Order: sequence, then C-alpha cells, then structure tokens
Amino acid sequence: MPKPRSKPRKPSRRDLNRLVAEIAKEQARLQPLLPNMDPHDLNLILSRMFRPVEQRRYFIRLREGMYVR
Amino acid sequence: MSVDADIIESIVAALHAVKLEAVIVGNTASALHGAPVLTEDVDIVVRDTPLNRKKLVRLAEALGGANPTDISDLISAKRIMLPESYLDVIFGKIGGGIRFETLRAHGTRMKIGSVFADVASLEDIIKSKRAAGRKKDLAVLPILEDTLAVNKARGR
Repeated sequence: MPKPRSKPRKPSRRDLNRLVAEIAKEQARLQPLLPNMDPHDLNLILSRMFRPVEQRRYFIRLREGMYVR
Repeated sequence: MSVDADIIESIVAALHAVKLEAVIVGNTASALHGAPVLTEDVDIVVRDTPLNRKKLVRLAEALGGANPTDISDLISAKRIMLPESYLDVIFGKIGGGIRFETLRAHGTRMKIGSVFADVASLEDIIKSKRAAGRKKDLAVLPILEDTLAVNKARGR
C-alpha cells in the first residue's frame, strides 16, 4: 500500500537565499570549465542538482487535457 | 518530501514488498541525476523471467494501480496505470541492447525518502535514448549530455 504523504516542508526565504548563493558560487567555478555550455542551462542544471532529491519535481501533470503545475 | 518524490518512493517500496529487483531508467532516472527534465511516467527495467512477470499483478495491487497491460507489440514491457502517474515495466533490456545486469552494475543506489533505489547511470540513459532514436528521446539528449558534463566537472 502507498504510504500516507507527509506534508512537504516549504523552504524558508533564508533557505532559498542560501541555495541561490551556493548555485551562483558553483556556477562561477564551473562556467570556465564548460565554456560551450549555455549559462542559463548550467544554472538550470545546478538549480536541479542542488535541490535535494526529495524536494524535486519529476512529473508533468495533465488535468482536463491541459498541462498544470 | 515533494508529492512527486512520494510517488517514486511508493513505487520503490512496493518493488521491495513484492521482492522485484528493478533499475529506474528514463527521464525519472535522468532527473534523479540532476537533469532539469520532467516526465509523465516512471520507467523501470526488471529481469525477464516468468516469476517476475507474475509479480507484476502483486506490484499493481500494492500500488493501488490497474492491472498490468501491454504497451505495444514492439517492446517487451507492461504498463501499470497509477492514480497520479503510470509505471512502465520493461523486461530484460532497454534501447541500445543494454541489459538489466549492465544497468545495475553501471548504476548508483540512491536514497529516496526512506527507501533505496537502483538508478541507471546517465551514460546508459543517454546511450539508450540515442539508440531508440525517437523524436522525444532525441529532443532531450542535449540537456542530458550537458548534465553529464556538469556531473563530470563536479567530479561525480
């Protein structure tokens, strides 16, 4: 049986600011090593990587024939 | 836990409950490796044995899903429709002829909530998508290759 879902903890603004700073620091380190990579794509990848596996989104959702968040 | 991670955790827990060894592949595996992609389903690979095929009915029951159905005549796989997603179970090997044993040997074990899941390597996922050659697979290749490059640059 699927286990009951726990309510996800919403990250605080402080958590998010810390995350943004860590991503920016890693991006500054990696961009020279990956000169052909689009900076926006690199930021997107790092933003995904730095978010814990348990807090990521994985699925597209369709409701009444439309994609929704 | 996000709702999405809960779904993956439930699937892995149900696999453990029915003693079905599986490797997560496809875009769910890519996202677990950090690729910024979304998907509609969870793809897993299992060994192609009569016993494993029988276990799918119990797996569907454990997940509260519909009975397994064939996906198409072209691939050896079954689909289990779930309340909020669906699970595709591929038997034996994926595109590029990469077999279950290879996927597991190359893959990594990841903790998702309270369970551990075998997740195929990004290299194998890229190989299989390139070999499959479908438009939806080719479309996602550039961002998977970039993710692999980032992982390597970060020493992972």
